Amino acid sequence: MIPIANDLSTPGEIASLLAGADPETIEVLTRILQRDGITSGCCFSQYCNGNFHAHAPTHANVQGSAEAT
Amino acid sequence: MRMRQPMRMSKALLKRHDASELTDLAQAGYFAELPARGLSQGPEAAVQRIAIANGVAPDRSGCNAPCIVHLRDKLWDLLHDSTFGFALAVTAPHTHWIGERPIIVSLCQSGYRVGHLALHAQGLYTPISFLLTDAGPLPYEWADDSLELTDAELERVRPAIATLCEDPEVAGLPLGLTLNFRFKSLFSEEPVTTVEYEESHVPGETASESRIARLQDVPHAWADPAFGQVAWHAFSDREFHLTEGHANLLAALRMRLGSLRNPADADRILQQALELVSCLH
Repeated sequence: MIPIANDLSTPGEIASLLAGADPETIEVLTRILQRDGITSGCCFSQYCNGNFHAHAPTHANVQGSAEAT
Repeated sequence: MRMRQPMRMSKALLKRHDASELTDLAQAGYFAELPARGLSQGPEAAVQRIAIANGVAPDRSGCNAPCIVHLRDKLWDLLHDSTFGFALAVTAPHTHWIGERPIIVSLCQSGYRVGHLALHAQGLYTPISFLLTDAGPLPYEWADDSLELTDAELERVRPAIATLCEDPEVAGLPLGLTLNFRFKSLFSEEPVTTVEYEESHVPGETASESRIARLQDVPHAWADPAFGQVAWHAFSDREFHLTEGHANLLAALRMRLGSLRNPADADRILQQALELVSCLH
C-alpha cells in the first residue's frame, strides 16, 4: 500500500492515484502528463540578462528549485 | 495609421517575406496595429489577459484554462493529427518591443536572438508567431533564414492556422500560436523546454534583444519568481477518448502536478511515481 502524503506534489501521492488504474490506462495517462510538460517560459523582468539569481536571492526556498534537476 | 485591408492581407502574410516586403508592411502601419489586435506589451500583460478571460491563471499544463483547452480541441477536430501538437505551441502573445519594425528571431551560438534585428536585403523571413484574429492569423514574429524551416513543414502548418481563425470562437481567444522550432525540426517529437530573457547591452537600459536558451542551460530560471510560463502545448485530450472515470483521474493528477512551476520537477515526480506503481504490478 502506497501511503498518501500530505504534500500534494509528492511521488507517493501521484502513485496512489495511479495505482488503481490498469497498465494500459497508466500508459495513456502518463503520455498525456508528459505532454503537459512541453512548455516555455520567459522572464517578466527587464534588465534580466539571464541573471536569474539577481531576482530571487532566496530562490533556493522556492518550490521547484531547478538544482534538483 | 490603420492597417489596410487586413483580411485580404492575411493569407499573403503567412508566406515568407523579403526585407523590402517587411519594410512595406511597416510603412503600411502593420506593426503599429498589432497591439490593438491582441499583441500585449510584455509577458505579464499577455498572461494576465488569459487569466482574466478564464477567471484563473493558466497552470503548467494549461488544462485549467478553458480557452487553451478550446484551442487545442479545435486543432484536433480540424486535423485529427497529434503531430501538430509537436509543431505548434499555444502562446500568451506578447512582445518586448512594441514599435514600427518586425520582431526577428535568429539562430546564434547559445540558442536564438530575438528583437528588432537588422533586416538583410538578401534575407528571407518566415512568419513563426501569430495572433488569432477575425482577420486571419496575423504574424508578429519572423525567423530569418538561419533557421531551417522547410517549405514542406510550412505548407502543413499554414493552412491549419488559417483555418482555425475562421472559427469565430478561436479568433476571439486571447491566445496565439507559434511554430515550435526551438532546438528541433518543426515536427520532431522531442520538444525542448526553453527560457527567454531580455539581454541589454547597456547596463540599466531597456534590453534591445532577448535570448532563448534551453532550460537545461539556464537551470535557475524556473525557480525565479520573476520568471513565468508563456507557452503551453497544443495537444488535445480528445485524441484518447477517455472515459469519464479516466478523465477525472487525469484531472486529479494534473491538479497535483500543475502546482509545480518547473516542468522538470513535474517530470521527475511523475517518473518516481511510475516506479512506485510498477512495484505494485
